[in-house]
Amino acid sequence: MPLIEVILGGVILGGLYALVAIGFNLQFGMARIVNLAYGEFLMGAAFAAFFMYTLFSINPIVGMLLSVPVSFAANWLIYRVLMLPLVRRARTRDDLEGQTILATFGLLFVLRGAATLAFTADNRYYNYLGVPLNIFGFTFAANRVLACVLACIFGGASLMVLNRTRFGTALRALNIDPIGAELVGIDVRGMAGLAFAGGGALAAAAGTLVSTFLTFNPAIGIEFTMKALVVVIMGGIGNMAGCLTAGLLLGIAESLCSYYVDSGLTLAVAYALFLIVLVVRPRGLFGTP
Amino acid sequence: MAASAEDRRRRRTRTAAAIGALVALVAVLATVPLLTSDYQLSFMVNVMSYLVLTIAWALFSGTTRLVSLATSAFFGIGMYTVAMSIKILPLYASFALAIVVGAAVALVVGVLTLRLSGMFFVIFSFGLSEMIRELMVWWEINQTHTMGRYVYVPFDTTMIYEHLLGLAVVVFLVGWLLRRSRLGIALLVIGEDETVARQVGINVPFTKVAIFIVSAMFMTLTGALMAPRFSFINPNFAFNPLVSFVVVIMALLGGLQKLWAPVLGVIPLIILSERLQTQFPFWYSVLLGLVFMVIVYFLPRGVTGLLEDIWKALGRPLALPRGFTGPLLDAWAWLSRPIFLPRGLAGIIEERWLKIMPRANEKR
Amino acid sequence: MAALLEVENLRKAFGGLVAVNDLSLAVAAGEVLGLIGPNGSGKTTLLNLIAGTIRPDAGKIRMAGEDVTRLANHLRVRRRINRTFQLVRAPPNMPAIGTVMAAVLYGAGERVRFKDAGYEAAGWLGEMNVLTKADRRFDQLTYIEQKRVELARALATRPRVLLLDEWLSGLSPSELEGGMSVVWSLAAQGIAVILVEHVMTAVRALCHRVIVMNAGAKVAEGRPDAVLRDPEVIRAYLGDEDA
Ligand SMILES: Nc1ncnc2c1ncn2[C@@H]1O[C@H](COP(=O)(O)OP(=O)(O)OP(=O)(O)O)[C@@H](O)[C@H]1O
Ligand SMILES: [Mg+2]
Repeated sequence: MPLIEVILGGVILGGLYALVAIGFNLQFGMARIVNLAYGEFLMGAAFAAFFMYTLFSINPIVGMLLSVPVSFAANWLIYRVLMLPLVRRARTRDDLEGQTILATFGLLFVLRGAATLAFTADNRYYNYLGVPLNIFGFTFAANRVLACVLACIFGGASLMVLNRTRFGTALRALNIDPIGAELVGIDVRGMAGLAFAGGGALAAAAGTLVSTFLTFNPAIGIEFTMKALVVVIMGGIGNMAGCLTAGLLLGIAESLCSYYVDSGLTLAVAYALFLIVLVVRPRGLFGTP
Repeated sequence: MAASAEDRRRRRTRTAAAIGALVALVAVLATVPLLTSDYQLSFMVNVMSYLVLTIAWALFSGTTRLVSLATSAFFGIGMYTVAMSIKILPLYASFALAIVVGAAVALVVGVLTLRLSGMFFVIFSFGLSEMIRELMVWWEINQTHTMGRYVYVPFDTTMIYEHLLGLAVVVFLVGWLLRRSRLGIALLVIGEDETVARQVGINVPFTKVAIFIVSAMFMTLTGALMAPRFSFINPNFAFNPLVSFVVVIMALLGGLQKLWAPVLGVIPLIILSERLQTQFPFWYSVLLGLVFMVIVYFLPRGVTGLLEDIWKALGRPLALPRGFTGPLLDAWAWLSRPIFLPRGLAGIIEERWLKIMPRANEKR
Repeated sequence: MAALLEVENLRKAFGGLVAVNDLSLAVAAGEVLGLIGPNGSGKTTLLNLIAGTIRPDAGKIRMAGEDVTRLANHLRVRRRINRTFQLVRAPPNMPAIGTVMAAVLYGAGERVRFKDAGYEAAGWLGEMNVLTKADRRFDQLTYIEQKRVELARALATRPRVLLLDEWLSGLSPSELEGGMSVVWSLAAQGIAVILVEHVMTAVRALCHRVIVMNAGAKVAEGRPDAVLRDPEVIRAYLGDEDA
């Protein structure tokens, strides 16, 4: 009985991780940029939701109408201003990966430092929909369930865009073969910029959802970036369905660990999972060996 | 033939000059604790520890071109191993234990991630320190019911400094020898083209893991040596991600092409850090991040690259009388020759070439 | 002649595309085996499989009687299989001699002292007539010099089986003649050479035997003049309508 409840709790958490990872995958898989500062946008959105709720009592879900477009624009600017010079400069894919890792690593500290300056390093928490909700006889916190449902909606919408529209097809072409994409007349850099910005928008959405049920501070970014990286590697770079599965897997594993061992070990769980995948299936869960 | 012999003689003089200069430098540095105030000494301890970390980082990342963000993990392992074992082990035994633990972690991480794509390694190194910190916090709270350790040992700042200086000399020598060895050549080939590396018979994963372990051992030992400096250590303090970050900045600022280059990155950054931390403590992370981005964008070859460019722009035929600085400049030039070809080799080739191609010799 | 390298029923697919399909071949010491076929017929993939650059899905590779199918690339180098790359490859920023030295130090089997490796590498470069470029960065060499340096790198590991992937392509007529005599002398030293080539004059002049590949499979095998007249082969090259 508790086991099922624990697993369902994991599924709810996993939905959120999948959303985080889909956003990251848009940046990594489509725009080909390893953005180590990804989690900082998530953290920023969490703070935005917190202040909108506590100062102006704006519903966090409504607040997304503001934070998501802002994050979209900010990420688009980052791509245009900070990433494009690196894209132009890089000679090979590895080269670009190395350069962007370094640049976004610096950005991470800038953003995190700025957040600490602006918001202090205190832990924040606000109570939004913190009521128990009964589903099929199991009890969950309403805010968690809402977060999962919204995460599924956002994730599903992104998948629809990717798989069903011309725009999405072009984006997927970027992942499979950037040079070929350029040859068939896709504006690779423009598209990559939009993919990068889209990833940032999803990060903001995820950050808002996280803020409704987790305590957070300016340092949480790294943890989510790490988890997104792990999920993306497990699910496959550019593979959104794989992301979903791997995200759920991580959520369940984490939920099991916090129930049976300790709730402070979430990163260790992600790493353990990562290692198992590395050893057993080095090309990801769905990769062809 | 004559030119070759003269060449060799000149090279030998230069080598002697360089070695002499280095020995003198180390001797001067060793007397620092006698001459300086506590504050200056602690500054020098910082310089030495970051110098070792940065050179150790460059040993691995400079050659394999994989950005390792795991420095703080190994530094922390060293520090925390000493903190945990100091009550039961003699001081040097706990240093040794730290090295063993660090090497073991490096072995596991290396074997698991380095045989796969470079990306996996970077990702893993990115979170390694956070994960170990998390594990240690959990362990301390649930198993040992302590949150942090006291380190009281008769190992004062002067001792720490002298040990770090010794370690710096060792890491420098290792780097120097590496550039003139089998392993060094293998690393260069791997850094440039792994497929070719395999095709010349190099065991690529093994080589990478080996150098990763060597580099990690130096980092771990630095952390271990630094432990007695702080009387109270907890996991959050030992595993500070900023260390990884700062080391990467220092290495990039200094440049990776030359072994001594990190010096040029370490000193300005430590001065800058101390300024920032005292004057703008809250802006520290932001400003450091900005400095870092400036380096990535505008100084891709580091300060050494910049110096080189300036040097070239000034032009060599600026024939000043050699005087006192002449030998120093020679030593400088000798030390700063590019990494690509191990020095010993260049000599051999030149000799060989002159033997086979006497005409090339005449043309000179 | 007893076979030195034997390949049995080798198969490799990339997704749905079968690049090498159930292919067998054998080559003896001192023999030059030509491997020809239209673009994309799987020649390079076959060399990659033999050299250990990639792993086969099925099949066996035996070197001097030893099964090397599962051996890693660098271990096959030490079992004396080496190759050149279709698109010339060497560390671009290293001086030419650096790569050859690495090959001497790591590929030659017995332990060479670091100091002697320089001499030996210089010797190999001399043999390939590029010693004067020993200290030049690889990417500053001309195409033909790069090819020679690459071959020196392969030879420095003292291969008994050498896989040349279009090593003679893109050369001027006089360079081609020099290149052909190099290949010929390799075979004369007892090296088994597998020569992937589109230059038919070279194939005719050098090869003892030719294998024709099409869509991953072997379609013909035999003496060069006979094979090149085979209607099946002509169809493979020119398409069905022209045959
Ligand atoms: N790594 C790979 N992934 C996917 N497909 C590949 C890969 N390598 C080769 N192929 C495909 O396998 C087929 C055979 O390629 P291969 O390079 O072996 O041909 P080739 O005979 O060497 O051609 P060429 O004469 O042009 O050099 C081609 O269709 C190619 O696209
Ligand atoms: Mg080919």
